[in-house]
Amino acid sequence: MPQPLRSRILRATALAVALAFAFACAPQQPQPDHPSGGETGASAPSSAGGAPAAQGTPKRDGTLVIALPAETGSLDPQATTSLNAQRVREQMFDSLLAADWDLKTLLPSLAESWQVSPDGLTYTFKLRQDVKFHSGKPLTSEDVRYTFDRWRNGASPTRWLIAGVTGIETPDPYTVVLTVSEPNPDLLYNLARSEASILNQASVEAAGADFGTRVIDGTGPFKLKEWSVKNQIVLERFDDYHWAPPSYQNRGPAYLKEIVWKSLPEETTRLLELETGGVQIVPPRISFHEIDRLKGLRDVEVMDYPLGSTVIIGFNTRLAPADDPEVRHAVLMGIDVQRIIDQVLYGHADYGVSLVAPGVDGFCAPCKDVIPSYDPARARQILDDDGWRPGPDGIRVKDGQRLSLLATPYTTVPYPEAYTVIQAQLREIGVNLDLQPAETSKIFELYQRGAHGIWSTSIPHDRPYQAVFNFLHSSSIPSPNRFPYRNAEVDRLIDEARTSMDPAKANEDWAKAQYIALQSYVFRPFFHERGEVAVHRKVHGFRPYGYVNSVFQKMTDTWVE
Amino acid sequence: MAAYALRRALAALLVVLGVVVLVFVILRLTPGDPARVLAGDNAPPDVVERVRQDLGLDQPLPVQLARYVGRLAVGDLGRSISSRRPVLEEIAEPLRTTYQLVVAAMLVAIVAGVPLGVLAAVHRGRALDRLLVVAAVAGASFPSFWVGLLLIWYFSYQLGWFPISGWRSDPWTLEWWRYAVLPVLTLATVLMAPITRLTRSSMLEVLGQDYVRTARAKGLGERLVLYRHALRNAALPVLTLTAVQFGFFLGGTVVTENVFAIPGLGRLLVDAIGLRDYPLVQAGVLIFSLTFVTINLLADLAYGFLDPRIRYE
Repeated sequence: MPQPLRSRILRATALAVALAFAFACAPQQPQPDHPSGGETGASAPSSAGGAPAAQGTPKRDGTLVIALPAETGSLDPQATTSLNAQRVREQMFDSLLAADWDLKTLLPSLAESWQVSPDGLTYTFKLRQDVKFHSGKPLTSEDVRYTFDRWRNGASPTRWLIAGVTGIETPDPYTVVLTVSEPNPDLLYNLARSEASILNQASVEAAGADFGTRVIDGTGPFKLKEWSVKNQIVLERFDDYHWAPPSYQNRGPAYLKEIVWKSLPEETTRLLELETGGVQIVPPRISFHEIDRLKGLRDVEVMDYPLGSTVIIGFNTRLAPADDPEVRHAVLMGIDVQRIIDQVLYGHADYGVSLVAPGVDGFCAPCKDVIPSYDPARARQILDDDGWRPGPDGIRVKDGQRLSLLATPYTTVPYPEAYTVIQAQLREIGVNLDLQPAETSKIFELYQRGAHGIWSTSIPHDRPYQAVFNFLHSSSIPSPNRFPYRNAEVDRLIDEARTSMDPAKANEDWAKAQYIALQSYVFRPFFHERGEVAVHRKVHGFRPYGYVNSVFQKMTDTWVE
Repeated sequence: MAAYALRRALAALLVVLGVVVLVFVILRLTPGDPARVLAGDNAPPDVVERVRQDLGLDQPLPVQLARYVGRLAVGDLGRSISSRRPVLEEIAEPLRTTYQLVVAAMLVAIVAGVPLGVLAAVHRGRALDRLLVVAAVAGASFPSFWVGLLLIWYFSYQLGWFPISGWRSDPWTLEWWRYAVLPVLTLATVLMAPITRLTRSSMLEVLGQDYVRTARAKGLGERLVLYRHALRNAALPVLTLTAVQFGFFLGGTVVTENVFAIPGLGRLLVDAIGLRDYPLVQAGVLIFSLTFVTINLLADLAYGFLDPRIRYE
């Protein structure tokens, strides 16, 4: 009965290889964490996430359970761009500065004061003298110097945030002086991000490769208690904490005794846990139809919060017929954006009016005048005038060429159905859309080869350069300026805005650059995302926060019944 | 017997090595770039390049492969790209979890599926048989995603008997079962269907054999005939199926793991593939193929115990 050896080996090999293939080809999980895609954000200084702070006396020593939709990876602040990692480590670390709830005003954090020299080239920070790490070591300027040196000289994927810093000096244990090569109005904002968290030199060096996973030693209000991979991360209150930035009501030790970040990859399970109270906060992204259902529940509140994020529709102008501005103009005019927002996004987004989202510095109010609004009749006219005549199947033809455009949207942004609707709408004006959605790794490969068609991406930003410089400056070609768009005047405006120490002038330049670029029809703002987070009513004092999409600010004010 | 087992084991090792190399190459030919994933969409090219160097991915493929096999030979699986943890540490607990889940589901599926198969065979062509066949087809057709959510909705959400999600790391205790019972049932539903069907058809074949007639003729009780004489002979294909399924289900639990938020190996690997975490995916496939060939080997050797006519040389 045993088969000959050889055929058994063959069978085993075939099965094992089939298994391996099954894995290699496994469908992509939606990646809520993906930098270009994924995250729901919001715009519009909306209801500012009403903090129900003053409801009764805060109850101490509770445990808050938060759903974690995807893994964090390393919690070393300099190691990843992961959004989930940022949310967790925000509780364990502090930066020199913090941003206020308006996302614009900078506040003291570990630095109690700071000064910028008139030429914008020297930054002096005075550190608080009463701060210590979880391990007990007091914070000194040496830790700050070590942290920034490690960041700018290492292989950190975020080290560009500190680019331009040429020198770090520590004249005394509580003073840090940074020198930069050219004025950079964004540097202070970058230093308020959680990537700029201050590390303890001694424990980072002692931990080696284990820093960020087994060893985490920050100055934040919570410390790592237990980490069971793909299961949960448990944080425990740091009792000595009393240096929260002034944006918090409780600047001392947190009310909560523990925060449990529970790994829950499946949305339905996450929301069932929320409804039954097993989990008390579910962060974005939450499916729009689920949000409407959650809003009807007694025990759950859906909070929205201000957040800058714009989803765009862009062309690849190297790919005919998208090289013809008239075609691009007509196509943008043939898309009924409002209808897609209403029907596909259930109204959970705002019509795109500027590359920089409303509420963020550099927002371009006049831009809405140069963004084509839906007008199929005029779109047809433009194509007629451009020589594209309706062919036998309704698709236009010019010189034997069909008016067919490739579209390669990222599968989950802005939502798979959106492009199907666009396809149907464009058919109405005689344009064929060759729709080929691409998953994460495929899309990067297409971008790299310049083989993408019409594309969409979500651009979360809290400073204008993250949208305007990254997507419109010629030095951002080939990526993320994948249109590719090149204009000397726009480059000049951006270069000036980037180094200007005059915020009003800079904002004007940022807006002008967008205005000019929009006139070439290489892209249009599709919609501005909203931040929506579901919170159980047992939770008090929680306020969602949009700074670099984090949602979770330090939770010193939060408590649970 | 010992020589046969040794020969088979060596062959199995070669298979595993082949799979490892194949997966190594396939992974790197798959579009997607771990450095790009790690650095993020907006990172400038020089940063991505620096990250790539840091990961050793800028080296030619043969050099990378040689380094990998060299480290593998001394038991070093490397560090995960996304978490920076040693792969072995990252994979140990999820592996244990998935083994527990699959073993429990397998036991439930066998304990329930085999008797149902026998029952169907005995009542061949009658209403009970048809009912069981339909149930088996249905069980195999329900997606485990849906079965899992249905079970959660009814038993956890409506009745509140079990936790909605999660997992305990103290296996086989009462508390563990409270967490495990729904995911185990979900998996067992899928596993049970083919076991029932195969037991039925295998039994039908055996029940027509001379020795069964002889056993009945010499006056043995029907229960003894069925379970001692018939089932033992009908069990061989069922055993093969179960072995193959075991290997397959180590990777096939990902949907169930996602629904119930179980920190298992399937989830770990699917996430790792998404992130192009090469060391983690390679280690996972290594473990799968090791398990797979080991189970196959054990199943072959077990034939000898179930059917003494089988001799190994």
